[in-house]
Amino acid sequence: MSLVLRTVTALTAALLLYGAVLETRAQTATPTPPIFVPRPFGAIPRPTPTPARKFPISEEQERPIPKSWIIGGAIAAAIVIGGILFGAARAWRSSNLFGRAYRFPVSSEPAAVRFGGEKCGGHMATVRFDGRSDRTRTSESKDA
Amino acid sequence: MRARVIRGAASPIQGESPPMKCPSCATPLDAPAPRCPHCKLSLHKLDSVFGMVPAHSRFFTDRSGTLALDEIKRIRTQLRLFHQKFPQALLSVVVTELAGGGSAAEFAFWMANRARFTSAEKTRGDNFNLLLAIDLTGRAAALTTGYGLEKHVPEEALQNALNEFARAQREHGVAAGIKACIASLVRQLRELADETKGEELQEAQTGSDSW
Repeated sequence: MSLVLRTVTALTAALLLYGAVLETRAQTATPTPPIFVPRPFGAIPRPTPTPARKFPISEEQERPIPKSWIIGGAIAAAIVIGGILFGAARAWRSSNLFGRAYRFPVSSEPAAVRFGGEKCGGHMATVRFDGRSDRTRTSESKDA
Repeated sequence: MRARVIRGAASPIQGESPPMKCPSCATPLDAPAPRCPHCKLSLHKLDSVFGMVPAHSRFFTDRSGTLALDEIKRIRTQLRLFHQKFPQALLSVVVTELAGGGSAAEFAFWMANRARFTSAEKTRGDNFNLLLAIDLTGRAAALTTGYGLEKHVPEEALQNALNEFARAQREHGVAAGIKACIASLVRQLRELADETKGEELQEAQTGSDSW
């Protein structure tokens, strides 16, 4: 009895599956026709032909840019950018943007006063605008 | 080359006094003297040559009236920047026309001692000021320092700065010369300050090692 029941159940399931497959096939086989069909008025114009090139492309033009050129260009650009950054860093440094201050140590020994000067003892250099130094001039006059 | 010259000069930490010369006749002195044994120069003698201290400002004074206002502004800005970099030192520039005798060197020595560029002028070893005096009549310039900088800034460094002044002045005028001189001083003093600091650190290390 149970065997008969099992067989009937299996057959029913098989029939149901087959029916589903048939229904799917029927749906895909018949596409829906479009509602509006374009019907252009008059004669259909011919497609515009592609214009011919005035200057034919040579093989050299079609070739890609060599890698060595790209690498060279990149290196040159890096050098230029590096130079600009270096110049900017120097400018920043010289304009004291980073605010660094320099100090000299104060001597513990008292300085001996020379020529009666309390602030300056004549430690100096001189120059003439024509490029000759006063020291040279003095020695020259002494020699003369 | 410039750096070599500076490094080749007497080390500032060694405690040796730099060679002393008379600002007038450049005669070297063996010991500090109240007047030059050769030309008898003294500060009191220069008072009679130059008279009263001329009106001057802290950073820049143009007694000749030859420089344009915008140039003066730029120079003042550069001098202020110098003071920011070296807070101990005040670099003043005086442009003048010495008509009644006296050289630029004598004028620089006299002004550096008699003028008051700051409200609280420091004396002797505490004076780190610099003065650039330019005489347009005599076509000469002098750059001098206070006693405080003598051990750290050799005469070669001052001479280098003045040579830069003369070179730029010849090509572009006095204002360009002053700017070149300031730039040269900044460069050299920065190196010298760094060297002094390094030598001080070394001394401190050797001192602590010996202890």
